[in-house]
Amino acid sequence: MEHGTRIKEGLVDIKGMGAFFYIPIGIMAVNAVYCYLTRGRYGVPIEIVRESYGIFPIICISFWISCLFEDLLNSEGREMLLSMPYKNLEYGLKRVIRYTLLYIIIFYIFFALAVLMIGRNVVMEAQDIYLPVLSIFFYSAFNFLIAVITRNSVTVMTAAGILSMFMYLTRGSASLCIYPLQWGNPNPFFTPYAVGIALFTATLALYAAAQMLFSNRDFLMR
Amino acid sequence: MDKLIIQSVDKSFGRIRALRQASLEISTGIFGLLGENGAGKTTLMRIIATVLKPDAGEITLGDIKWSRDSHKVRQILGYLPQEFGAFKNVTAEECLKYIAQLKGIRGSEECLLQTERVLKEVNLLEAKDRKVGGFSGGMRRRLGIAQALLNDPELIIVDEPTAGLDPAERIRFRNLLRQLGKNRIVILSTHIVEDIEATCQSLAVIKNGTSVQFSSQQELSAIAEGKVWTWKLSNADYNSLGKDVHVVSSKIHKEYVEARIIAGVKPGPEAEETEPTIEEGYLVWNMEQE
Ligand SMILES: Nc1ncnc2c1ncn2[C@@H]1O[C@H](COP(=O)(O)OP(=O)(O)OP(=O)(O)O)[C@@H](O)[C@H]1O
Ligand SMILES: [Mg+2]
Repeated sequence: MEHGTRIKEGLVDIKGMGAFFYIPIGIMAVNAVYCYLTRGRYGVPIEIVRESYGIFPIICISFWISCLFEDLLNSEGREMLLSMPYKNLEYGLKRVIRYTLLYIIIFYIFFALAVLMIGRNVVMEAQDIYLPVLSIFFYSAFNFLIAVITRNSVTVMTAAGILSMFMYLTRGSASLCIYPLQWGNPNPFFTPYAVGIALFTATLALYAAAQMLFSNRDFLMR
Repeated sequence: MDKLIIQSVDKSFGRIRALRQASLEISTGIFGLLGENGAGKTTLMRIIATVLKPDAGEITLGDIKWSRDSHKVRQILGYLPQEFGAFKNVTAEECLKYIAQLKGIRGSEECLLQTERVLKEVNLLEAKDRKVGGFSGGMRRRLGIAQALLNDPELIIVDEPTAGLDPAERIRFRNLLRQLGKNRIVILSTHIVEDIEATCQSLAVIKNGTSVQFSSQQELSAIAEGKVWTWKLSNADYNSLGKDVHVVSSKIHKEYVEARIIAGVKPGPEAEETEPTIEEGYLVWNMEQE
């Protein structure tokens, strides 16, 4: 029973996102096509996948996370929702994580599709699993925090865009290895492992800060 | 049932003192909160609805203490904020089901049952499959009312619920309120005196953050006793009344105008003292505060 309720609530969340739910999926599909078209290119096949999936499909989780709180945080719906007896952790962090996991599953479905399309012998390394996962979680945590602070989905996506631009240009050298684009646009001075640790730590800190603010309804009302 | 007791609640926003030592005792039934724009009604409603914390003071209902048990309060609360909007992309029914889940209603069958019930109560059953984003202002308001009724709350708070409703819906809503007030506490804030006249057993008037409670409507109207006059004047005389004469209302007849006037002394030789209405009591009270 409990489980059934959760799935239905989830469907409303997804409907509430409107077109934004499908944008990341569309982008991943386009990238799968790109992998297919460039499959014959000279070089290591996995790098084609990394290049095409390592930037936009990772950043695009922002579309989902910013929408997840749109109704709670925009001025019209805020007050009613803040008077609800939801559990702060359940409606905040746990929901974010549930959608992030769903996103990661979809991400890997398209990842697998791209590998199939390339059709050559694609050799994967450990980083092809943990780097995208940690990077997506990093963006998810970053977006959650910005959403709670600014309460505006446009600002959240703008912030994600600016952060990505900054990350792309500096290749993480200005942010202590915290570099969520390492997988798609690697900084040769970093080991994937070090970036993984840095992303993991940063994600925990961002989630903690975001959830702390989210639990403070007085703050959300401001 | 226990009384809702509001004790010396203070709230400031920077330099603005929105509530000063507001104290009320509210028992089962409909309680009206009357006040002009900026009086502090919404601030008080928000504090009761736990979305704002007071700077000082306490609210209790039986052994529930607002400062300690905000989660418990939220479980027994139905709140319609002054500004209401939600979920543009989903249908009215989906929106309510979602809110039902947030309110902790377990089981999809129960959610569906309650959703249908409240939709019927606000006369929105036919529109249940339409997207909320396409609703008119009044329909959205009714959806807001429906949402507040989910989970059969013991305490209902509605902030200017009739704003934007057409006359028929306004009357429907008043009837609904009266029904709800039979076995729970309903707090209704408004600056429309008629809403209060039609529904409330007891009320409070609030001005500049200070509240004064009245045990009945008569107690409020009694404030204006001896100060309200009806005066039948010719059109010309009516138009030449000075600005200092406080006309509350006037009825235009063919040959003359019948005006109701608030004045400390008899405003003219033909004026007759008359029974004050609540609105007049409220106006006199407001003038006395200045
Ligand atoms: N979030 C806020 N920040 C700053 N000032 C506020 C805030 N909320 C309310 N106020 C101020 O507090 C006072 C009381 O406002 P409140 O909204 O409670 O009035 P109200 O009685 O509901 O008025 P209305 O009839 O217009 O809805 C006003 O002076 C208002 O400007
Ligand atoms: Mg108000």
